[in-house]
Amino acid sequence: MKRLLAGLTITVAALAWAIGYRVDISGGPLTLAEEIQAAFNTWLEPADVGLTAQQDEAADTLIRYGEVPRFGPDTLSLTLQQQGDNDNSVVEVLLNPQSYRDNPATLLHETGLLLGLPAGQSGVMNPALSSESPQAPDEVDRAALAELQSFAPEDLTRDGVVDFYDLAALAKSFGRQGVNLPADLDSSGTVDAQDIEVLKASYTFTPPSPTPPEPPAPASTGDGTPGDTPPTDAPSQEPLPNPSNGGSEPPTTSN
Amino acid sequence: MKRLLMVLLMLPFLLATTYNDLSLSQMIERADLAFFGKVTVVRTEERFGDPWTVVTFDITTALTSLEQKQVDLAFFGGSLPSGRTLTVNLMPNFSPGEEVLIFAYDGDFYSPLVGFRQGLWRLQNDLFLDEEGRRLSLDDKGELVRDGLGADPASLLDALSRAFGGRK
Repeated sequence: MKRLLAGLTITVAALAWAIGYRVDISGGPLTLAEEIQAAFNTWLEPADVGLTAQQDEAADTLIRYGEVPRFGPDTLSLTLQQQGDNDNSVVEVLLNPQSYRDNPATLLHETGLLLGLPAGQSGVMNPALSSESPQAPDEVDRAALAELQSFAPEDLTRDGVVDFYDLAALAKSFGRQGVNLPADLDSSGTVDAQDIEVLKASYTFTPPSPTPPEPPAPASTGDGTPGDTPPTDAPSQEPLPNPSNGGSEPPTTSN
Repeated sequence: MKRLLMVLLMLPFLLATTYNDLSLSQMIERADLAFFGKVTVVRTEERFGDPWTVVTFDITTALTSLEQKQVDLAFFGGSLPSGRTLTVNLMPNFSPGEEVLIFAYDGDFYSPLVGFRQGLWRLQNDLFLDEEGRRLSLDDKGELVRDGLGADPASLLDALSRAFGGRK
């Protein structure tokens, strides 16, 4: 069967910027592109966050169907990041053509992540789906989407400034591997020294506040992504050090 | 303006994997093999043109009927000597020396673990922690629960052995 490559690209456009993805509909239901568009609409239409969707055939992100036998009985979708010799990075989302429709939250979750939301442990953004999974984003999800546009990627603590606490948050995730780790600022798949360099470029040298910012919600393991697998020698979940006392005592919690 | 641009540039990489949420009893029911053991070898090989990570476990305690003392499980993704790297989001990574509790399928799946990554607990500080950081535990009645205060590993393995009942 001729491989159909539908060049649907959902472009999330705020102001003049746009990103996109392609959809390959071979090997599964032919309505995938429309289903993805509908999932985006579920996110964007009521949200009024200034985002739109449109096609782009040149996108590096591809959504397609995977091989059914390889998914096993439990997996609905799989996200891969491939890097070759030339450092080009390609992201592919593989859908199980036989089961991705069993739960509408599958596409809502994937499109939510495409919009920039981190995976979490509850609601639409929980990758562990069940019959009780929400069928639409709730107010918390939409608020998180609106908030996302307000902060730089390097602002890991989402407090409006890239400072000591962001460096500490990155250090806490150092060595982790995964596709969408918030601290993986260069999207290499690993939180490493290159991410420190990226953060360094945005670092603001000001005296840190005596109390750390509240961690961004929804939290999951590690740095906001349940998929990140820490190395065996990764530091355990500990409170951020308090720079006001040289880091030797735990910080006080702000109300 | 610069911040918004940087957020948008990050968007193509903010993706994930999804899987069915399983209860502990569902996982016990579905598992073809279950054991507590230690990771001894982690290697990457090319299969079907893609990198796969093959992990060898020395079995310390078999929860299902297993004749062999070692088990190899293959996970999609890894880094090949050619420089090609394939990262699968949410896929567990393993390191030699780790002690883990595994519920797995006998099949060539992207992830052989039951529930994609739910059938894995790492022994850390005498606690069995799943990939979400939850402690495998026993409740007041001695029943297994996925998210509790934790329990003595030997007691948990005894309870799991009873739950599996020496299943083949």
